Amino acid sequence: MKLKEFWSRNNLDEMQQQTLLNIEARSFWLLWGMLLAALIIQSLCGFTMREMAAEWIVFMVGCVYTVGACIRAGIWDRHFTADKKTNFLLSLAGGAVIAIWSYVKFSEFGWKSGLLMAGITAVTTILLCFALLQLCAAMYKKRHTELENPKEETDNHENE
Amino acid sequence: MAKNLKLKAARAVRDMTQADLAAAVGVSRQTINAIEKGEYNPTINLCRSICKVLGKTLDELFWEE
Repeated sequence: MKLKEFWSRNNLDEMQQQTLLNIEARSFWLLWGMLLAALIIQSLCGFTMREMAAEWIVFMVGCVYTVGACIRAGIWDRHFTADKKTNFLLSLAGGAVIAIWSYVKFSEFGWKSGLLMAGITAVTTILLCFALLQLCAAMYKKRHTELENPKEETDNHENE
Repeated sequence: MAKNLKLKAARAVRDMTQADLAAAVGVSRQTINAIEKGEYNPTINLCRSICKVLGKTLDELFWEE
């Protein structure tokens, strides 16, 4: 009971609350970026998947929660729109990043192997990213439509 | 955002400090200071509380010409 009271109590006023949310948002993206950088550096340094498992799981849980919560709230992104063209361009960008990573990682077996692996991973990433973005976009659009057209509490004045 | 001089003036008429007004509406002094300086856009609930304490209407304190 005391714990419930503790969590429900708020010592901040509305401006402090908003400031704290901004600080927390910046902290989240800082941690997200640093965790991603750590994963990339570890993988390039030859760490095994088992050695990186903890960071990877934390990173993926954070990502899945963020995407899930945004879709549930009917929110996509501040800057990007949920359409095919944007999703394809974002997938291309992801593919390019993965291609560079693959080339750096596999070029130790020769530049031909590096290029081959870069090509394979890039195409795979583009296809997977595009499919996933399209799926999320479809879920977002469905949820957004539901929230924009609530079934209950119809306002008669809106139709007048 | 422009400075809210009307709020500052209304507070002065009532001889209230920023801390007094903050205590009366249940926020921190820095929030009242930020509203007066135009650095924070308060919610409608806080605007109403401020108006009640200062005996003014929303238009008188927060409407910009």
